[in-house]
Formats: sequence, C-alpha cells, structure tokens
Amino acid sequence: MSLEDEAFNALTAFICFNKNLELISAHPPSGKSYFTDLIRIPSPTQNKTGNRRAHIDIIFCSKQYLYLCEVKGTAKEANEDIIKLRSIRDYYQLDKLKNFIIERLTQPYSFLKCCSELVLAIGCTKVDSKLEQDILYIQAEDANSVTLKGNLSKSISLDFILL
Amino acid sequence: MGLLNQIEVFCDEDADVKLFKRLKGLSSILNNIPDENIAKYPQISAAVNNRTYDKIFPLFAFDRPDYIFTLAGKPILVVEVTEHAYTGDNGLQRFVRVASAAENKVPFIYFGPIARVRDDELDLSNDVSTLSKRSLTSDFFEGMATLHTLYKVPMLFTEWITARNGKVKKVPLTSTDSKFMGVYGDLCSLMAAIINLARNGKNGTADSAALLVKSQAQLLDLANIKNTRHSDVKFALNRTKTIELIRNPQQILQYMSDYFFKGKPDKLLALYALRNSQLKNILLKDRIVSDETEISSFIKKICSADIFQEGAYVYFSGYKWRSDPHCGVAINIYYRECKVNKLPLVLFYPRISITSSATQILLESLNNTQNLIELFKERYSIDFAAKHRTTTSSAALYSTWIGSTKQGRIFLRYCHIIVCNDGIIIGEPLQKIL
Repeated sequence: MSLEDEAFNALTAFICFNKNLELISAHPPSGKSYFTDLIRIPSPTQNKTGNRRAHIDIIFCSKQYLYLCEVKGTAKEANEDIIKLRSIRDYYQLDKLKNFIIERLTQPYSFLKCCSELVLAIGCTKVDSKLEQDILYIQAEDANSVTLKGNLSKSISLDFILL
Repeated sequence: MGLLNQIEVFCDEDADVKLFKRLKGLSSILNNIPDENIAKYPQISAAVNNRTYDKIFPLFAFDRPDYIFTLAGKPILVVEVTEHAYTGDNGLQRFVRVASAAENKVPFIYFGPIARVRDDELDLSNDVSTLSKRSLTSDFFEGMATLHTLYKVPMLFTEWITARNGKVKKVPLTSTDSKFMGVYGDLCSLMAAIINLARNGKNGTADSAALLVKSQAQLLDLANIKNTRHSDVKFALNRTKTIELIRNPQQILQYMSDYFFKGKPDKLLALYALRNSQLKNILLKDRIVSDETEISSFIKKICSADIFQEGAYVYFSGYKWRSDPHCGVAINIYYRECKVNKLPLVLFYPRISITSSATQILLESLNNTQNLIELFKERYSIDFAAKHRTTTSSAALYSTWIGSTKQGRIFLRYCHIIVCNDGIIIGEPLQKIL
C-alpha cells in the first residue's frame, strides 16, 4: 500500500467515526468507492490546461466548515494540488459550490446545508514542506490519530476532536 | 453453519473486499462466511503459475470480475458490481466476464443500473434536472440470455437503483443495515440463494430455487426489450459477399454508409488505414505466409470452407490498440449472432498491422501524407487543421498486433478471421478446421 493510500484510508476512517464530521465524497484516484458519490467539479482552468474536471480526493464537512481535501503521501508532493484547490476557491462562491455538490449527491447530509466557510486541506502521512497560510495540513497515520498543522489548525481543531 | 466456512470470496480490489464485508451482515447465510475467507485475488501474472488459483483462473484469465465465490475450492458464483450503464458499445465492455463465467458453467449475477445519467453530462450541467437517463444496451441482456440458453447456467441481473438525480444510490459506510438493504438487499438474496443451493443441493432449498427461477425469467424478459438501433459496424453478409470481402477488405466501405463522416474524428484514421490496406500477409498459428502464390491458395481454401457456406457476421472495430470495449463487443456478437446462427465472425481492425513495417508506414502518414489531411478537409472544412492536430496528438494511433495481450487472446479465440491493415489473421475457430 502506498503512503498516499495509507493517508487516504486513515483520514476517511477518522472522518467516518468522528461525529463532528460527515464524509461527503471519498474517491481514491486509482480505485473505486461504493460508499460515497463521485463529485467532479468543472475546472476553472480548463481552457488553459485542457483538463475539464477537477476530482477532489475527499470532500467532508462539519456544521461550520466545508473541507476540500487532496491526499498525498507527504505534503511536499502537494504543490499542484494546492494550485487546483485555490483555483476552485477563487472561482466558486461557497453557496454555488455547495449547491453543485448537493445536486450530485444521492444521500442527504445534514451538515452540508449549514456550513458557512470553505477550508482547503492537504491530507498526508507526513508534513515535510513549508506551511502555506491558507491550507490546513492533516497528518493522518491511522483512524485514531490525526494531527492538524498550519495556520488554520487552531481555529478548526474542535472539528477534529473525537466524540 | 454447514460448509459455509469452506466458502471463499475472491475480490478484485480492496473496495470490493470492504463492500462485501459490510454486506454479508445483511444475510444469515453470507454472514457465516468468515472474514478471513474474503480477500483480493492476484493479478494474472502472479496467478498464472500458482496452483492455488487453478480452479478460478479461467474466470479471470481475460478480465477481472469483482467477486468469485468458491465452495471447497470449486467456483460456484461470479458477481459483477458496476455503477455504469452505457447505451452503446461501451456498455458491453464487461461482457467478457459474463462469457467466462458461463463457459465455465458458473452462475453469474450482474448488479448495476438499467439506466442512469452519464457522469460527464452531470459534471458539466448547470441544471441536473434537465438531464436524461441513458439505458444500458439491451445487447448485454440478450447476450446473457443466450449464454443461459447455451450453457444452462443461471445468468442473473439485479438492479442498482438510482436516485432522483439519475446517479446510482450510494450508502455511506456507517449507515444502518436497513439503508444497505434498500440498495443491496436483492443482490444479497440472490448471492445467498446460489450459495444455499451449492451447499445443500435440493434439500430444503425450494425458496432459493424459486428465487433463481423468478430472477432468470426477469432477465429473459429484459433481453426481449430491444433498445439498440441499426449499427453501421455490425452486419451479416451472404456467402458471395463474404468471399468478396475476404479477397478485397476495402469492399467493407460499401456497407458502412457515412459512418466515417459522423461522430468521433479518429474514425478518419481508421478510414485512411482501410483505404491503404493490402492483403500481403496471412498470420497462422505458428507462421506468417507472405508469398503471393501461397496467399492466393490459402484464400481459396478459406473461401471454400464449409463454415462460410451461409456467409459471415462482420464487425468493424475502428479503435486503436486497446482492449475495451471492443473485446466485449466481439464476444457479445459471437454469442448473439454467430453461435446462434452458426456464422463465422470476421473482425476488421484496420488500425492494426501484422508487421511492424506496415505500422511504421501508417505512423509516418499521420503528419506527412496529404491523403490523410484531405480526409480531414473533406469532413471538417475550415476547422480541418485543428481537428487533424488534436486527433493525431495522442499515442499509439496505429499499432502492431500482439497475440499474447488480452485483446490478442480474445480475438484469436472468438474470431474466425481478423482483418488487419496488411493482411489477415486466422483465428482459432478457423485454425481448427483448415
């Protein structure tokens, strides 16, 4: 299993068992997922890159925050993902993004309608890069242990306390 | 528990393991399968010389189904779970797995939507309520029904229901059993019924047997609801026309109407290859015939073979070298049209050459040959240069035949003749009778 798979599995398991959070969509880049809907967001940079859709590895939310999370083995591999996440944040208003996601779900999620802020996140097994101010780094080693790093970690940490 | 600890469940991917472990709790029979008996099966390269997998190997020698169940080592069930449903040939890409199960007399369950909204249309839509569902091609169900008739083995379908937005319903991992039952209940009942019959024979299994009879009848009904239209690339020909076609493959153009001038632009690459095709080689099981006299006498021998007495069924594949979906299409045609009507299958594959030198000539033509550019001009008028550039920018547009690959093995096994750019390949059904 790759480090990316390890981080993906640990983080999705953590979200599933944390009552503060709802797992909206989790699709590993190389595999299939039977438990959540596939959400692909039209890429704001499609004309430049030719890539028409942005697939987000994990989308989850709490009552306050909507998290768009890309997963990598370690944080230093995430530069392009950060560019992708920022382009979505800069292009879409939060309400429009939420509606886009809600229309593509086959199950209702109660937190999704309430959340009012967007958080861009990188999930990984190790944070080994310079910390970007607008990114939440989630170091996930197993389902019981995730550590938040970066400027946003203090304001958000309540969502990540296991109830 | 009675034999249930001898059931093993071989899964394609980790996600399949995870799903079955969650689903088995929905049925008392499935729930008695120990967790340690549920695991991924290996890739073909690791399984080919491993005797552990001897009995299930034929079920994934060509393509990997999601689940293979065994009882005391013997395969008793194959299950395919898919959220996709395509109207056209793409819907048939999983048919290879169905045929492998039937040929090995193993019951098969297909779990998927009958109709759903396409992912690419959903992605780009501003109003999902305006999107319409696309139905899975009825050729799939008709093929399953044919396999059931030929091999006398259950070939079953159970629907993965869709939500209001046209996507298949997903159930979050942490949901209750009742929510899982709402989506996967029928699938679990069918799996349990087949396992019950396999372990108990006729003793106390009347309900299971009745469920299979009912489900089989539903599949046969589905097979009779035709939703496919006329195809430009699949047709039967009489003996005279078949012989003309084998002698001169370019004759196929007269049967294909305006196929090359509508739809995807890379059809023009296939047209170019077809227009420049020549019968210069015949690839047999163990050698290539390239001598003109020998080719001529071989063609005479083929044309006089009894198998061509009633003509042939022709399938044109304009794809580049890739396995899906045309492998599934070829096998589906083989059963629905050829096996039932006792016709040989002649497959046209003009973007593929038997010799690497012929491939090289085609590759060099991509940018250098005025004739190819003329085809783009004829079809696209002022946009022709951009279309030509984007169409010719991807890899492996023309390739050389490799018999050991998935598509090589499948085409050789099911086709009588494969018509390539520089000659024809004699498939196993014809090798046996020549």
